[in-house]
Amino acid sequence: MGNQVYIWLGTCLAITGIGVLRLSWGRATRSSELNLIGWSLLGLAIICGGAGAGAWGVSVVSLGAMTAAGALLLVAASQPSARRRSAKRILRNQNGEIAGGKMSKWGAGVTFLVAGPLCLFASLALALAIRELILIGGGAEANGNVAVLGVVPLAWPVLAFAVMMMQRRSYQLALIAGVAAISVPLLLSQGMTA
Amino acid sequence: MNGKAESGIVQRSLSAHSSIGLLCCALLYLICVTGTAIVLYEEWQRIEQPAAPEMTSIDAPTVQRAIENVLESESDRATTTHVFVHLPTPALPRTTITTDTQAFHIDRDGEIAVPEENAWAEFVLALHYRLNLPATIGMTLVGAFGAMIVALSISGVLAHPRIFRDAFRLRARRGDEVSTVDWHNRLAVWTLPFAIAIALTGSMIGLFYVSGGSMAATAYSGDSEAAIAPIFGSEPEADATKAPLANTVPALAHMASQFPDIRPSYVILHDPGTVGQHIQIVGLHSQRLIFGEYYAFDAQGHFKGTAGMADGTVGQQLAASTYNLHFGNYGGLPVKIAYILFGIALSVVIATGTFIWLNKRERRGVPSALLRSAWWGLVVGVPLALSATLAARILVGNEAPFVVIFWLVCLISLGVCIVRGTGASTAEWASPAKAQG
Repeated sequence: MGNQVYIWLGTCLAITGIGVLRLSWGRATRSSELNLIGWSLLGLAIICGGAGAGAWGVSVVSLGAMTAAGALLLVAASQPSARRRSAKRILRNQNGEIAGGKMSKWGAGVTFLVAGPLCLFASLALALAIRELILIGGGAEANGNVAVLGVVPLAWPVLAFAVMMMQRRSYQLALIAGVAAISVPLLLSQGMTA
Repeated sequence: MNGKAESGIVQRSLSAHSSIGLLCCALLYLICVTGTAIVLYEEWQRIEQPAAPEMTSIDAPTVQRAIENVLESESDRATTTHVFVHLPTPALPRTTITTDTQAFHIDRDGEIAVPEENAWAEFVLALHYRLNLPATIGMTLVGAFGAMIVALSISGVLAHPRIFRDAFRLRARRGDEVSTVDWHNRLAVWTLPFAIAIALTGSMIGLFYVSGGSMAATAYSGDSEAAIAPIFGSEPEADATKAPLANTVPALAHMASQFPDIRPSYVILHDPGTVGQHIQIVGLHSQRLIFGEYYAFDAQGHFKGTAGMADGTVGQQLAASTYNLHFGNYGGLPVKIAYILFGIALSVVIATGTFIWLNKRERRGVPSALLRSAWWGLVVGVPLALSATLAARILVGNEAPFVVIFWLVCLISLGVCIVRGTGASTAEWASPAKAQG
């Protein structure tokens, strides 16, 4: 019963937090106080969810916050636009133009290979190295093995994105080589601690 | 950070966002739409076979009798290596026994009622899990796309400098390109925690062949089962010598007496009728993300311990939480409805993302009628094709060729949209005054 109170309180705080942020971001001028209150309420909501039912509670409270935001978006969608500026101008302000200039097909292909398979291999090496670090540090084998399964889906997109943000190919390759260089010594000892 | 540097980051993030999005959009859209549909996996099964016997609970002797009946029905062939008994749960109040070769619904007396017929739900699940491809390739591909959702989320956030200020600004009624951008950005921002959660969990599941395989290759001499044994537990040594069938009654009685708050959802009988046989019961824990805990018993139903999904290491609990967090089956219908709404939102984000790119292309003067038509074909075609397969399930039955129907309808939708779109474009080109008017 006590758990339920935390979950409901967390959900109410989350919905209120979203409402406060809506109020804050709808103002003509920035309000640090309202922003702080809104984010604090969301933080408290997460804490309540966690205190009530751990990861399950955090998930449920987060779903409540997202649903509240979705409802507010529906309200926004139903309202007419105040002023109809040129769509082109607004879009330019909002999104800019696609940057980076024209890339040759060859260059795009190489970028794909670097951000795809190469970054995946680097992520795998990193994940296996982290597993080894956990085992060396006396961590449970299950933790080490789950770390491998969890790190790859996280490290790969982060590395791929980082690579795509780099304008020079040498920097891209250096990043991947750096990750591999950190991981390889630990990888060489893989299996010895299993 | 000065304005120029910030602008550079925004521009490069946008470029990366566009590149990844374009590369992945078609299959990502398919994965999101099918993922949204499969949230109702249990409910679809009930719709597919409404006449199957339903019950809120089943007693232990009836479960044992049902196992014996199913194994008796297979006495003319090699004994199954596993028997899975699905026990009634709130989402799927049915008792179903699955062996290596077949599956039956069981009635309240433990008799075989009807064969299980849920081919459509299984088809949608397979389409989402592995795109109808062989498991190794398909799951890896889907896992890779999950990872790319994470990359798209990061690049999308960095590409949008006014992400918070504009978070509630949705000019939907303009009905122009601004509306498309607003729908894309707002839905993406507010579904960000959901998108990252399902992308990471989906990617963990999908990339298992790569990550788990690499771990097995480097640390366990290629033995994948040994690699996951520390997480999910290992199986006792097999002994194929014939023996009387294991007794699940004491095991279920033990669960009822010792773990009254835990609801058994599965009884798994390993190597039935052999000396090495043993029983596992999967128990559902209320208000947990874990799919359940494995309770191990010997052939006589003596309790041997748990695997640690509920109270083992952080890694075990995390691994056990992946599936439920991904499919949204941890909080009953309200959570499922939320997952469906956010799944639709994510599908809209992917669809509008490509339309934004097409709009930009056209603003730069690059004709995009063919690409736009093809994208419309896919956006409309995937849900249409799914609906067609469901209609086939209802009208034709469990044996309908779902894979063929699905891809055929997708192709037809693509073709029709391309023909209509390029035809309209040619007409506009031929009659510019009409097009401008």
